[in-house]
This record gives sequence, structure tokens and C-alpha cells, in this order.
Amino acid sequence: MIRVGLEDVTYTYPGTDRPAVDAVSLTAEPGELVALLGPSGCGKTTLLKLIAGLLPSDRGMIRFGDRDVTAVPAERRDAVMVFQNHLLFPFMNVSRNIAFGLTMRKRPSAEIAGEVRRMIALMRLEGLETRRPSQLSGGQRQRVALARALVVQPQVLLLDEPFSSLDAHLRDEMRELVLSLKQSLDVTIIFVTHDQEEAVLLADRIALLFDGQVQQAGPPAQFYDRPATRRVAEFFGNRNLIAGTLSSRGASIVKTNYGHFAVSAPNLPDGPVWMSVRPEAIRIAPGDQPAPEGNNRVPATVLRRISMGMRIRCRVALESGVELDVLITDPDGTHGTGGSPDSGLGMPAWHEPSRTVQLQLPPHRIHCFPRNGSEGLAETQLRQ
Amino acid sequence: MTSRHSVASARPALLLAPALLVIGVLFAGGIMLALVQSLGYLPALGMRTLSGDAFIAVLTSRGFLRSLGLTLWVASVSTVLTVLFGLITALVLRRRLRNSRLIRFLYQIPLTVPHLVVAVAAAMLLSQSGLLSRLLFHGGLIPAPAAFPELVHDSAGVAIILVYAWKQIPFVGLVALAVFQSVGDDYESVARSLGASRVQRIRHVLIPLSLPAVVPATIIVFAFVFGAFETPLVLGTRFPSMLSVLAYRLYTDSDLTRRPEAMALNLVIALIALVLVALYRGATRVFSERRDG
Repeated sequence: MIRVGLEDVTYTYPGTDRPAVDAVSLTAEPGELVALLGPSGCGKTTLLKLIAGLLPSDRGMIRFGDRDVTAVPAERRDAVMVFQNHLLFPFMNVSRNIAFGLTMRKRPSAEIAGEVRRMIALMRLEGLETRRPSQLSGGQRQRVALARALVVQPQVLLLDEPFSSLDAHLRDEMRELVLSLKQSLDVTIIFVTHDQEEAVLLADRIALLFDGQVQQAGPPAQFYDRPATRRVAEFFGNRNLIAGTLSSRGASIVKTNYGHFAVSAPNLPDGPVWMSVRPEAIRIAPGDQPAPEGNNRVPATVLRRISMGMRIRCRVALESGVELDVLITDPDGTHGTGGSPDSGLGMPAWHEPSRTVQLQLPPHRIHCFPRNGSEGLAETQLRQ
Repeated sequence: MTSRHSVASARPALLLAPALLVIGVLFAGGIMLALVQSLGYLPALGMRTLSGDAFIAVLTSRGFLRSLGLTLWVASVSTVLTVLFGLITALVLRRRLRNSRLIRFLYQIPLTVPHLVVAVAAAMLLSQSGLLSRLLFHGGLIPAPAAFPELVHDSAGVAIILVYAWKQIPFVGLVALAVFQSVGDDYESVARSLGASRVQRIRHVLIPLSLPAVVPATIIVFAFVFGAFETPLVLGTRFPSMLSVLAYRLYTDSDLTRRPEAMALNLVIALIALVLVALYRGATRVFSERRDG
């Protein structure tokens, strides 16, 4: 196991003006599984190739442990990359494909045979040893590609969207396999994906990239609870954003045109901010009931709702048009106020469209992050 | 419905009929005529009995065996040189050929020059009274122009071999290059990442990847040199001559009774070409099966 450290790594493709990877600094702790997440074209695969040594960085430093590998060519770097398209050698059978790295290292053939057998067993590829890649299914090919990478016992394993070409159920299988490999092999894994669900599922830490720059890096939960920018929040499906201005004279208050919201010490300078609240953190009550206890109360109108089994997801609009998602976990009750407003079987519930409801945003569940002064003004028309 | 369907399916055949007719008459007819004449049937000369004498005469003559030997030699050596240097140039120049139009243009020049022009140029350049020998003589590097090695009209066909290699190296090179450009970079990256050095990547990845395209191209090169005519006519010796030249001499011999031998020889050449076509088809099938399962 080894720590992978990037400092200020920059790369511009020849003939282009804008760097594909722009001053990226990032650390993967020994044995960690780090996801490089981002939309296509954000530079995540380029970054992976820089770590692999398949591209030379223009600037910055790449370290494996204490060793500076910035100038070390890919073939001597001890980091193996598995590509999106399995890229098994078509002219070799499964065994020879897996053996490739050891053959190149000129290991004795008895040792190679033993290692290949071990990998075949680990990857559940028994009986396929003499097949050609063209005779394998998609999942088998990707397992052979993983075996071919792992057989050389790299200290760093780099995966470039390795499961994106597989169908959903095979993808789940491969994810489980990677998680079990990570535990049994003690290897530091960096993998690229555009799928935030996959990143959350697999990664110890996520680095989210836009336009070649790391927007935010941290454990998966952080991206939901404490997004650093509006784009990060939206990339993670967080649509509950309210523009306001933070003012911390005494208590921390965010002024919006729906009133003032108390927030718990956001550790930010005063100025324009976004408030983000998870749908499940918002408390909701019928409009004709006594308001839920606590401050930060605001009236809203239900726009539409989607049943999610035991729960209901409502889209509501605040008075001046900002829309929020709210999760009702107790659709028959009144969520926190007690009592049951609507009697009768299957009758229109208090949360049906066009009804007025009351929301309460618990201060400790509101996360504030800086807002670019011009962002969000159309929705808010801030009145101080 | 049925009649319309059958008309529709007959249409391609109808449209192709004129072309097929011309090819059929000229090609199959030509072969048939050659077969008949090779069996000694030439009514104009009063020869009406069929026999295999001409084939026996051709196959057992010393001239034929020497010619066959020379033809196989020239075709083999020029093919080996072509493939060797085709692959080497493709590997060495693969990035430059992709990025520079000028280099790609220069590389393709030999493909565009007619064989006859190259043959004449080679004669002027490489013969003992040629440009090269005179330059070397005036430069004091050889004592006399005649000390220049005999490359043209020699019994080993050196000039012929050189002309074919020069003409066809870019052909094999471009075939290999197409493979390197379509998938070579990706596989090379995989191999690098798995620890393969530059030499290992070429030997264990790039060359095996290019074989499914290069092996059939090799057979085409060999078959072409085996049957080609104008270059050995210009650059070859009187004896032994390559098979195609020998057939031409027999055909244009003033003794018309030698016509069956000329035709028999042509059919033997055609038969060898057919074997090469079969080899070509076999090679492409083996490689496509390997790839597709």
C-alpha cells in the first residue's frame, strides 16, 4: 500500500489552449479507494493517464509514497491502468493475456504459471484459460483485464470507467468484486467515473472535477451535506438552493426575500451565500395547522408529488417562486405536529397539489456556501 | 408478389450481365484457348491431335527449372525485403507519418511511379556504365567503372529485387500503419502500463496486432512479383529469365510450333497464382476466425 500525492499537476494537450488538467492537487491515502468524478470532458481520464505516466505532466509533481515519479515512464511506475474498453490482446488467449505483465518482467515460467492460476481462481475464470478474448462475455473480459492488471501486484491500480460498458446487473457484480479486492489486496485504487451513484457506492473519497479543476474532494456524504459550490450541489442532484446574504452580527442570519433564516455558524465571511437543505431535512406541516415548532418557518404551495412507496416526494414553491424538494416520510400524519387533518379513506391529503403547506428549515441542517454575487439574482430579487 | 420478388432479385444479375459477359469471354475464353493450344491443337498449322507433350517438354526443360528457380528467388527475396522494411518504416515513422503531410506524401511516392519508369531509372542508375558507377569511379572509390558490382542483367536479379522492394515497401508500410493508427496507441498504452519496454511493445504487441493485415499483404506482394513482366524484361538477363519473360519469348518465337509450350507455361504460371490466391484466402480466414471467435 502506498500514498499517491499530486501537487499542482497540469497538462495541456498539444494544439489546445485550455489545460485539460489544471493545477490539480490531490492525495489518495494508502489503501484508499478514490473516485475521480465528473462529467465527460472534465479531464478525469487525462488525470488518470498522468498518474499512470502515459502522459507527461507539464507542471507539478506526482509522488508514490516518498518517491517522486513525475519523470518515471509508465512502464517503471508500478501503477497499472485498466481501460474503459477492456483492450485484451486479441491474439492471445486468457492465460497469456493475464501473464503479459509477468512475461515482460521476464519472470521464470513456473512462477508465471502459478501466479496466473491464482488470478484465474481469484477472478472466477476457471475453464476459460485457453479462450480468446473474442470468445468471452463482456463481464468475463473485464475480469480478465482486472486479472491482467493485478497479477503484477501494482501498488496503485487505476481504473478508467471499467464497468460503464456492462449492463446494470453485471456492473453491480463488478463493483462488489472491486470492493472485495480492495480489502484482500491492500492496493490503493483510483478510479474514474461519471456516475455519482457509483462513486458514492465505491469510494472512500471523491474528487469532483469540472473543467480540469478539482471542485471539491472529500468523503461521499460531504457532497450531499456540504457542497462547496452550486455546481457541485447540482451535480449531486441537490436542487434545494436558496440565495441569500449572510450576516453574522451576533447570531448567524441569512437574509432572503422570504425572511431571515437562522443558520448554525457557517464559518464563512459575510456576503452572498447559497443555503442548501436536503429534502429529508425539511419539516413540513399542513397550512391550516399550527406551525411546526422552531424558527425558520416559511409558507409554500405544493406543485406536484411523486409517490416513492412509503414516502412522498413533493415539489413546493415558496412565495416568490423558488422551488424546493421536500420528502414526506409520514404522509398520513402531519410530520412533527401530531394530529391527522384529513379523515376519510383515500381522500385528498393535505399535501396534494395547490394546497398550502408550512415548511420549517432546521438551522443545523442548513449548509451555507459562498455564492458568486451575480448568481441566483433572477430567482431572488434580494430585498434587504 | 412472387414474380415481382424474383424480378427484383434478378436485377443485380441483369445489371452485371454485360460486364460479366466481357470478363467471361475474355478471361475464361482466354484460359480455354490457352488450354486447347497447350494440348497441341492448332488447326492452322495442321496440328489436330491432343497430347500433354508440351507440358512435359516445358516442365522438364532446363530453361523452365532455372526460370522457376530465379522467379521464386526474386519473389521471395523482394517480398522479405518489402515486409521487413515496410514494417520497420511503419514502426519508426508512425507518429511522423500521422502528423506530417509532407512525410506521408514522400513515403507514398514509390506507389505512384509506373514499374517501367522505375525499371529504366534503375538501369541508368545501377548498371556498370550507370550513374552510380561513374560517380564512384570519378570519386576515386573504385578503380574502373567495370569494378562496380554487376547489379543489372545479372543472374541473381539484384536490380529486379531492388525495384520491387522500392515500389512495394510503402504498400506494406501503409497496411501496417492503418492498424497502428486504429488500435495501436491504445494497446501500446496497456502494454506500457503493464511494464513493457519500447522494444517489447513492438515485438509482443504492435507486430502481432499488424499480422492479420500484413500477412495477406505479403502474399499479394509475392504473387505480384511472381507474375510481373516488364521489370524483369528491362533488367533481367537473357538466361535464365523469369517465368513471365520466358513465356513471352516462347509466345513471340518465330517457330509457331512452340506455341503449345508457351501456352502450357502460361497455364503453369496461372496454376501457381491460383495456389497463392488460395493461400491468401486461407490466411485472411485464419486471422478473422482468431479475432471473431
